[in-house]
Amino acid sequence: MPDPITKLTWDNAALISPRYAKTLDLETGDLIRIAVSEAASTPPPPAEGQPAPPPPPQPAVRELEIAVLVAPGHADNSITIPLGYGRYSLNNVGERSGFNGYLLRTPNNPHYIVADGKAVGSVTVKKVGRKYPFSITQDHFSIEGRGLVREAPLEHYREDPEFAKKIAGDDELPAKLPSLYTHPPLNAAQQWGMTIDLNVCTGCSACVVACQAENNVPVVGKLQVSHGRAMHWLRIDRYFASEHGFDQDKGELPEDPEMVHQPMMCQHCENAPCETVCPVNATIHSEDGLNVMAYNRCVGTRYCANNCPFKVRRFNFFDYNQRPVGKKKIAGALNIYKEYFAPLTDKGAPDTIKLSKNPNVTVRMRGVMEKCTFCVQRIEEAKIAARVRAGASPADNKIPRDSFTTACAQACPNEAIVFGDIRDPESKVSKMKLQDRNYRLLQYLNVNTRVSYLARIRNPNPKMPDAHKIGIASPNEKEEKM
Amino acid sequence: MEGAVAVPEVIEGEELAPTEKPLTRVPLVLNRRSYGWLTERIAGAVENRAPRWWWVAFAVTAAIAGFGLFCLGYQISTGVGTWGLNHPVGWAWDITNFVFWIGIGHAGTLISAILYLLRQKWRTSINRSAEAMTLFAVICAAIFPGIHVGRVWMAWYLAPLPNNYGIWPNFRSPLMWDVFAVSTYFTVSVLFWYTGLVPDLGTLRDRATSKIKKFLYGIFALGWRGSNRHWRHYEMAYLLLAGISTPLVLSVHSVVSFDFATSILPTWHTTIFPPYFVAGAIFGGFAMVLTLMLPARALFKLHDIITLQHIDKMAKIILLTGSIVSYAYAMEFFIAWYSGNQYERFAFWNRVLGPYWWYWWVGMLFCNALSPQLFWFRWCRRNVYVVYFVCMCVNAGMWFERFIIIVGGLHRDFLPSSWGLFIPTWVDIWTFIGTHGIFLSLFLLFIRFLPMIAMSEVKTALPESDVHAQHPAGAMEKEHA
Repeated sequence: MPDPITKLTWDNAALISPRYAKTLDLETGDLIRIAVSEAASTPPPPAEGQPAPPPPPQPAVRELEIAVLVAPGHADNSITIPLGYGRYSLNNVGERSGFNGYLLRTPNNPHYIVADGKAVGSVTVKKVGRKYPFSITQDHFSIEGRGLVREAPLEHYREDPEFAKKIAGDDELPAKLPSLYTHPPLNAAQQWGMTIDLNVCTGCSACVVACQAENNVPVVGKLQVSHGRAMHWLRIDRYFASEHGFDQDKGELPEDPEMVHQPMMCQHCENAPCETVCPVNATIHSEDGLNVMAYNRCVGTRYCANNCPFKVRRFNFFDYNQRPVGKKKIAGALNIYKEYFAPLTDKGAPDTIKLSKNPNVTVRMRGVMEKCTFCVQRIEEAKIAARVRAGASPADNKIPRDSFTTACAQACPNEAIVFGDIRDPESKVSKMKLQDRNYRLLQYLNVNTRVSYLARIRNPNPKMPDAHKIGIASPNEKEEKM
Repeated sequence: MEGAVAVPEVIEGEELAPTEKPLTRVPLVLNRRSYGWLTERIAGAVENRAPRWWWVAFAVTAAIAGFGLFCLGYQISTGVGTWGLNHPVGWAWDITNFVFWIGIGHAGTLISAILYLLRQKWRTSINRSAEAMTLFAVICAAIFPGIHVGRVWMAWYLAPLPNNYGIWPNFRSPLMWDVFAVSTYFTVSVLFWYTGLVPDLGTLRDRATSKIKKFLYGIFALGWRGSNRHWRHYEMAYLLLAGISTPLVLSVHSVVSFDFATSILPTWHTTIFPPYFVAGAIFGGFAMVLTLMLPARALFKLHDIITLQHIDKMAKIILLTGSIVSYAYAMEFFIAWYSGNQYERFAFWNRVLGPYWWYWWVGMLFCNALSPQLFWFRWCRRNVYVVYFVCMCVNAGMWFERFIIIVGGLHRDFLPSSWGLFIPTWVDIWTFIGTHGIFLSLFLLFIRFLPMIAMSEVKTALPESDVHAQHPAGAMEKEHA
């Protein structure tokens, strides 16, 4: 799972701020050597629990070689190293990952190191001069002035409660845009939809994990993530917004940025661009408003993913469910290939992995497109249960209101994700959609998404020094690019 | 037959009296070559022993083709992941190569069909090899949509076969239209090429020295005896096929462009794509015809049949279509600005200044828009080295153009969170090079086994074939003397 803030997978890193990186002449991926020497002879450390208390030694120097990741928003002149990494083997689920931060820790200084305090003598940071490859799922973090995440400070919202509907020209669109295609009728008794409240989403990524577990989303391995082939059906987009604006292409990084999160999954467009382009009718619309995939019909042209404006469709480039995740030796001398070499690599998953799969969800093979289904297996389960309950009187086989939900919504600790029947005006999701903060993405494309977002309202304490930097992710007219 | 070669090549020098000049044209076949000379020269290329360079060239291209096929096997057995594709970029070199090759496959049919209907006699010197080139390019092109899919063994789902599930292909999908457009084009092109070959196959049969040759050429010549009746049927069939092919020249690349034009991505979603793509295809196709014909002309000493006049005319077509394409490039930028659409504007800035900036500056601007402008000058159009240089630029530039359109559109679309880059793998690169191997191997086989110039047709361009030819005051004799 990508780190919610750095979007780094498989590894940890020494996080430093852009300014600090500049002073040290470092870039993301540069290896550094951190040397920490113990506090010199001053009060000898209290009993260490070692059986034989050694004679007062030379100030021990603890060293760690670790790669740097430049994290906008990090405090200057400090380094953060997440613990719990540095394992050498992860068996079937991965390969060597990260750096062992424990090497810098001592029992008497377990949690943090303060260079000028008493705990340690000195900390030196040296550039090693080599690079370490990171796999980061989101390279671009500037929102480019596009009205994707919409937010406002509280006063602005009070002045103009409908502000979220006026961004990106949404208020100038006619109520109904024309469509060249005839669409299948959306005439089922229940119509599924979702809202995501950005106000309460913290970007914790519990939904991502829940989705992965529920839907048998394969683990692809570090190398494949770095190739941009992560399979997550639900991802959390993270953007930085800075009051000064910045051009990421020129290598500029935002200073003191505000960070915004946006969970992104299949938006279940009513006029879905993916459906019209699939040559084999593998992705189609159901009567209850789902954009559904027929995996065994899919031949994998990837046209649907290309035409998806949200880029939420995921293609299984190798047989991720069948292939070992880590780099494997391929027939001895042929180990030159970093990629899989099908006829020569092992195939098949161990039983432990097989048993971890959700039996209600197809395990997809290679060459097939997949994406969020709105947990169609849960919808079907609820439908079947409702039909069983209705028994002989099929008139009332509707699923009871808000009686089930998707895996992501279930896992969300803040209930930011709400799923339900949008035809039922009393359902929770319908009520959420009636809020004035409700907006849909890329409405000008006339895709009519079933997922909508609720704008983020910020209420910073005006006495806080950087209160004016809060709530600025929405584009404003002045800053419009180009 | 070798005896006649020593005659000087160009005959423009001779001044004619002003009263005679307007009525005469520079002949299409120089040095007053006879029917017999043409037959000897063209059929000789097939009948003589293969020159050493042919074997060397064929060995190289066949090796490259073989490695390309190995790459295809690796990709099919292992997965599409052996290419550099990723999540924003679902198509890259695969579809770029497809559009590139299918574009090259346009010149042949244009030359044979449209120029035939327009009675451009100069086409006769180049139409046969241009058509062959078309077929081979379409074969190379057809590889990519076939193998780029994730599950090649299921690709037959694209065919509208009745089945027990009652599922049909999606007729709204431009990929579906591609299947029909390309397969129709290939079929008609094969028929057209073959029909044109029949009289020449008859000639080869009659001249064949070995039994096997006689048998094989005889089979394919379909009993051609050159009777009046044969010619009447032949010419009618040829005319009909030319009529059928003409709309196909325009439709195939229009349909290919729909793959992009009907999508919603910025830079893809453009109504000017069909004419722009067709012009680009003819542009790239003529460049490839010249790329192949100039060496063939030198190696087989065909200077009297493929004259500087032919090269000049093709260069003019390159200039025309290149200028149409340049206009389309400019118009794309204008519309992006004029639309006021944030995403469109960004996408075009990104084309020029983004991560793939040099593809645009080198490929589209220099190779496609600027280099053909040399052809405004007659000297450049008639200098084979300049022509060859421009053609190589155009060949490369048209590939870059398709790459820019496809990957440039995909790698940065609506949501900045999904932006990425495409980096080709060795499999990408060698699959593409491998298709060049296939293309050139097929072309080398073609020039060994079939007449590369339509003998029967080029003879109609001789003055003695023209039943209405007048010989005013002996001007023709004088000119060809």
